[in-house]
Amino acid sequence: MRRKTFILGTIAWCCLAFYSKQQTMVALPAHFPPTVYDLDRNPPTPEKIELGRALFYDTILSKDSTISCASCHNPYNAFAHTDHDLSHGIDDLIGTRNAPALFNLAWQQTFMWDGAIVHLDMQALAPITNTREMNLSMQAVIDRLNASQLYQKLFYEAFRDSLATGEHALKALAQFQLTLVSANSKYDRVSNSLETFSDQESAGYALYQKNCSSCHVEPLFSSGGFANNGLPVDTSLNDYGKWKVSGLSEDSLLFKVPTLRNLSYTYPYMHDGRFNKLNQVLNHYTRGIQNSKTLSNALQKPILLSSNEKTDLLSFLLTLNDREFVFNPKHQFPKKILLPAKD
Amino acid sequence: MFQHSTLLALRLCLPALVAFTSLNLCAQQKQNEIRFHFTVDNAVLELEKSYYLPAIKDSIRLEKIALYLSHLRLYKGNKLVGSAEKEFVLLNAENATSQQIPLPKGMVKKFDEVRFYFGIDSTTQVEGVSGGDLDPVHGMYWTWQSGYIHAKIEGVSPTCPARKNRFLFHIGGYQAPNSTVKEIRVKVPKSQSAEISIAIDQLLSQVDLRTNYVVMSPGPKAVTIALLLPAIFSPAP
Repeated sequence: MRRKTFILGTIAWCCLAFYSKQQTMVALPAHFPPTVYDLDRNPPTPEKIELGRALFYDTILSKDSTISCASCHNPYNAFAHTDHDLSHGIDDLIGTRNAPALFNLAWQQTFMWDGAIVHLDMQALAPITNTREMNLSMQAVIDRLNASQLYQKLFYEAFRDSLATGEHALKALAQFQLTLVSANSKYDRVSNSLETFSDQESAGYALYQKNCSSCHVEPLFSSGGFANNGLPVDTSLNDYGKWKVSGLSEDSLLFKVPTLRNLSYTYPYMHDGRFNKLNQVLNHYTRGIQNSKTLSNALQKPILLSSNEKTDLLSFLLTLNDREFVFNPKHQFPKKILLPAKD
Repeated sequence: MFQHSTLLALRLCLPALVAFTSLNLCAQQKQNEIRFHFTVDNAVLELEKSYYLPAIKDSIRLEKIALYLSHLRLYKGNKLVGSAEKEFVLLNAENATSQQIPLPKGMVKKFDEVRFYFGIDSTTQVEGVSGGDLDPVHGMYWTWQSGYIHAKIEGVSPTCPARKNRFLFHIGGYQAPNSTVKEIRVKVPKSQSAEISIAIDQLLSQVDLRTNYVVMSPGPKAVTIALLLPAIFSPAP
């Protein structure tokens, strides 16, 4: 009887440990809503995550082996592309939008500024095959991976199958990206009663709640939806956002509401990177909004902020920076895999 | 325990017994399948070969044909009697094996109708990446937006005013009102296998290549072409 209990207990413990281990692979902050991504369909494991990390940083995924995902999604910039309004890819070709920051992806319904991609697994297909970004077909990617001893080993460790497939490569990339969770900013610590805002930050928080929170909903600081925030059309780009995907006139000039987290790391701002500084963003909202048929309901009334209030609001926004996330070595270039020490 | 002579007898008979049994099993487990054939004028289509189409009074040459079928089910007298194990099938004119859909081993029921869908259902389209015939490596998933390309039909015709006279039909779309998923039913001679012909000439004869030669995204044009598809599937003569 005792032996049976012991065996059952051990099995139960193993099951529980495995379940817990799965869940901690992708940190799920208690104050965040449930994930959108179905983790059961692509359960995270350390080996798959490491494979995904290698792929993310490996330029082998581009035609001339010069561009990796990290070329536009830089870890030190919360996986955004700074210093450029429009991201550039292979052969220095300039694209049409600014690469968005990558974090908290498990809670996103859609991807890209116009919501063209509806599942994280499939997102990588867009930059890999785009002729101005990495310019390589998936078949060519898989052929290269299968010709590499390193990747044969990594795929075997991750999937018990050394043969790389599009499915496995994309799942591994998704798993690595799912681990990019940013939830330890000062704001989060205040949320969890571990710290308190300064007076200025508190004032800024109140201004955020009054003026910004309907679109930039906490704790993700985005509703995940789309809005026309009154940006005048850049006629050198003629980018009408979500309209391109849906073809519906009510989607004209609607773009995905980005998160307000990690703003210090992710300039320039907006889908076409037109604002370098947060002050320019605030000035847009107070005096730069262009009215149009699809202008967001939240912006129909003007936003009024005095100079001091702008400072307060900015100080609150800075509490959304997550330094620990940006400097987390687990997210960075996997030196041991991609540049092993030569003996 | 056994006497020497018994053991010897067993040793001689056993292999024969095994061979006999396995032969019998083989006979019972013949591979039943649905075989699809892309055809022109009721003959198997060859890629890169030039065909004259009387309906358009011009020739065409097909360079690529790939299309997704899903949920193949078998009916006899309107009753479901079986289904293919592979839920999603990518037929490719370049690959004869891709056009042979095995039916479950040991399936002995005969059927007189095959039902399936052209295209991939919307649930599968949005649930994440899959492998096998659904693997995006096959180049049948739109990379710049979401969704599978249900059919790629590419070729050349002098009628076509496009660059290099090339027509390019990438038919897809899984969301209303531009869903190109279509149910198709083909009545076949009662049997445990079936051969179905996909008359590409019939399809292209109904498309005016002088004005309609590029479809690269979901929309009404793709739907118009998808509507022509059920009629081009028929039992192979």
